[in-house]
Amino acid sequence: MISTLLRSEAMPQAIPRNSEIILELKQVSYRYPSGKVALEPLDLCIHRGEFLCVVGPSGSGKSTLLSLLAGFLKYQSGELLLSGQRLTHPNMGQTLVQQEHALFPWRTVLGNIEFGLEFVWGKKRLNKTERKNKALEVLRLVGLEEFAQRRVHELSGGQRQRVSIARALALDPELLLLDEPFSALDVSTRNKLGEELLELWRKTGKTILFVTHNLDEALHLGQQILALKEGKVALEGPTEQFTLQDLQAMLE
Amino acid sequence: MQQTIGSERQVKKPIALWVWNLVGLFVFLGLWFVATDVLKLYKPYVIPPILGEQGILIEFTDNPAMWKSIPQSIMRIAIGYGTAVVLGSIVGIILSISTGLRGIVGGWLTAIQSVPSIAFVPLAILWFGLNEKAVYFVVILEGFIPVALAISSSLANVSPSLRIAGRTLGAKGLGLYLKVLFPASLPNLTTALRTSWSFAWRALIGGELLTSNQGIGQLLETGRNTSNSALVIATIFVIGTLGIVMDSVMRSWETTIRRNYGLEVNA
Repeated sequence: MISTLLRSEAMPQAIPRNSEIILELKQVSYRYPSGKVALEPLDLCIHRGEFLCVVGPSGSGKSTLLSLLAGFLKYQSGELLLSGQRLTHPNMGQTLVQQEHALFPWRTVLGNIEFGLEFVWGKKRLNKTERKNKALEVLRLVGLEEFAQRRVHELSGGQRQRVSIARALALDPELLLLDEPFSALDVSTRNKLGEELLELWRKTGKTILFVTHNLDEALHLGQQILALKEGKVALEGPTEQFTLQDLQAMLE
Repeated sequence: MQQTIGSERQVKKPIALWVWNLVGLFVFLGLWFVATDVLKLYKPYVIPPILGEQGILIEFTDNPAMWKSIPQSIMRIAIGYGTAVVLGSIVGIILSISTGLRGIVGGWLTAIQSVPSIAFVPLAILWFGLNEKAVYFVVILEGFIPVALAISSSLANVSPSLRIAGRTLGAKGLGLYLKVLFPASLPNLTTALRTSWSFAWRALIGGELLTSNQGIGQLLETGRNTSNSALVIATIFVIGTLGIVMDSVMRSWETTIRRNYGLEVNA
């Protein structure tokens, strides 16, 4: 009930269909070394600025899809293009936020956000001050600037995930990948962070791929939905076309 | 109400452990003084008094060999332990790459580690002679193993989520090692460095005792040869003090790191 209410408010303006394609999958598939198929050949297009939610039960292939997109798994057939370039390994163009916060405990909050920037070389290389300023700017986006010098263990679960998102955003990726980022949080924190993520999306215009097994969350956050089942697409389309019942029926 | 309890606690600060340690030391020395210097219950060459011609204190005030030996040994442990740490790190990194290698070599290292260091001294003397090389051999042998084992296992066991986080943010190769894998292993490593230190220190004393290099270990041998139990006891005191000082420095470093990492701090 609440989620439908919020959803109407949160529904973003539709992204024009002719906007640039950021991510393109052509017949991409993946098989485990055992030979079991994790992901059947999949076609998928994500346009710049889209917010796509990928849902599905465990074993549906959604984690496999995410690992392929993050560059941690190598697809065995088809083609995967990010901004027109073949995606073959982890890259700053697509950054991943994991389920568990995975922040570096030996760095401060700010230091964590600066981490990725230290690996930017060449023309885009930032010096120490620039890195710090950039990190502060991103930290401000998630509303944690006063926590800049804190240690990771001093933060709450929700704050840690905010920092994780900020850390991934600091590199200004083409595609932000989120792997059930709020699933370890309590319901009210989860809802709050969901709202903040939408806000962040509107502010930054980032292309977001959000994996979750929580259908409510997917319907609430996503602009597009991709439902996977046993490695195949079960449902795909703009969120407003589907109700919770549709998704539940399809995934049962 | 809670604040009152808190502030009361601040006023009545519990006496620190080190104060009690100090009290214990003085009580012990006091009893010793009474038994030997005052009551003269034992012959001086069995249990020496604290003061006087045959006392322990004179070994510090009037024995040049003591003050020559201490820096010699410190020098040796610095070089030996330093080398052991570097060597241990290299071996540890190599072992961290393959589980098979860790199984084969790691097993041998654990086996060697279980042999008391002094058991290797005769072999070292046969190989290198009665000289410093033999001492370095046992110190390095004993010191590098805990470091190698700790580095290999902690590098191999860095949480996959930290590794993934590092890689997704652009770290790879050496950068991944320096900025993710090593820092993630650091808490385990500090413990290993402390263990390694105490192994190396024991090995040094054993090595010096059985070879003929000037050093703290050799003072024990001199003391035995000259029936000078005061020198032997004074030397034991030096060995213990240096060991404890180094151990507490490293322990406080370890505690700081564990606290920063948000890990449990061992008391």
